[in-house]
Amino acid sequence: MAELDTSGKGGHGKGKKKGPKKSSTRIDLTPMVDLAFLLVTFFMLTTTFSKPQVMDIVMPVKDKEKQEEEQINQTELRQSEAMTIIIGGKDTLIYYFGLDTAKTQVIGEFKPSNKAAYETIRKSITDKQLELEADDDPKTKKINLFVVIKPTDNSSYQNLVDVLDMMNFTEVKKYAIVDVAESDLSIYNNRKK
Amino acid sequence: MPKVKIPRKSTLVDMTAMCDVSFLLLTFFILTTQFKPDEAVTVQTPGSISKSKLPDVDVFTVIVDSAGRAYFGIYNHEVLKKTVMSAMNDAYDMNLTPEEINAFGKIGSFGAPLSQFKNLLNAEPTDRKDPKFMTGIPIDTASNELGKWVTNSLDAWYIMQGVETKKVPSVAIKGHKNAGYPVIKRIIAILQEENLNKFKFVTELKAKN
Repeated sequence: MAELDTSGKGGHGKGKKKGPKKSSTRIDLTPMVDLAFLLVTFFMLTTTFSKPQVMDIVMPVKDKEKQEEEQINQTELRQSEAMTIIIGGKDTLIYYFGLDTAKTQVIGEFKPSNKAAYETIRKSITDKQLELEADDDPKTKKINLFVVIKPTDNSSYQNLVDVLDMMNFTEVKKYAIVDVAESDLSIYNNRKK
Repeated sequence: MPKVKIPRKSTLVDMTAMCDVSFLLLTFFILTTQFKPDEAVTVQTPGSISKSKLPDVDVFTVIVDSAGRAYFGIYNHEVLKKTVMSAMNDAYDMNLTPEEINAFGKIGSFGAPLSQFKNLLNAEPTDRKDPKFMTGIPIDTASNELGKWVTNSLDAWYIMQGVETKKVPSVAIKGHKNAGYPVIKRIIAILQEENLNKFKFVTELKAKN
C-alpha cells in the first residue's frame, strides 16, 4: 500500500532514530474517499429536495341546510362587486362584470405562452379593483371584488388552474368555482368570435 | 554560485481532510434524503405562482393523467396502507392473503380497478406498470371505486389518529394539465361526499411576471 509521507522536513522534530523499522500507521484514504463520494452522489440524485408546490382550494361544504343558506348569501352578492368568468373549450374564456352580459369580453388562446391574453384579463381585474377601492359612498365602501368562476365541461384543468392562479396574482380574496348554468352557456355560445 | 537544489516533494496528499468532508456530506444526505415516491404515472402539472408546499404526512393523493384516468396514492405510511388494504379486503371480498396485503404496503400510487388487484399485488414490482394495471380507478357513479378507497383510507386514518384528533387529512389533486375539467369536477364531488372540502392542487413553479 502506498504510504503517505508528508513529513518532508522531518515531521516529529526529533530526527530519525535508528532501530527496527516501524511500519507507519497511516493508510491511504483515497479509496475510502472514492466510496464516500460515490454514496454522496447516489443520495444527491435520489433525494427530493423541493416538496411539491400546491395551490389551496376550499370548496363550500355540501350540506342541505347550508346550501339553502348559501343561496341567500348568493342573492346578497351585489352586482357592482361581481365578476363572472366562464371557461370554455379550446382555451377560450369570457368574462363580464355584474349582470352586464352585453359587455362580454372574449379571450382566446388563454395559455401560459400567451402573455397578452393574461395581461388583458389581469388589467380588467385590477381596474375593477381600483374602481371599487376608489368608491367613497359609505354604503358600498369596502366592497371587494367577488369572482365567480364557471368552467364548462369542455374546459381543461390547465385553464382552471390558470384562472385560479390569476386570482392569487391579482389578490382577489373572494372567488368561487360554480357549476355553469344554462344562461351562462348560452352567453358563451353566443359570444363574439 | 551553487546550484539551487529543488527538493523533491511527494505528490501524495493527505486524504484525511477530504475524507472528513465527504463523510460529512454523506451523513447530511443520508439524514435529509426522502426518496422520490413511487408514482404510478408521471404527470405534467400546470404552473402557478402559489408558494405553499405539500405536507409530508397526512396526505392522500389523487392523480389524474392526460387521458382522464384516476390514480390513488398514499405515500410514506406503510402501516396505514396495510390497514386500508385489509379493510378493503374485508369489505369487498377480495380474498387477499396477508402476503398480498403486505405487498400493498410497498406500492405508492396505483390505478388498477379492484377486480385486477389480486393480479397487481402478485405481479413483480417491475411489472406493476403494465398497461393492464393502469386502466385507472373507476370514478363513474355506477362503480365509484375511488370513493371506496377514500372512505376506507379516511376511516383507517382516523382510527390511527385517535377519535379525539382535530387534524384533518389533506387531499392533493395532481392533475395533468391537459386533463379535462369534468374529471376534476367528478373527483371533487367524490371527495366532497366524504366531507373533504379542502384540496391542494399540485402545481409547478411559475415565474411571476
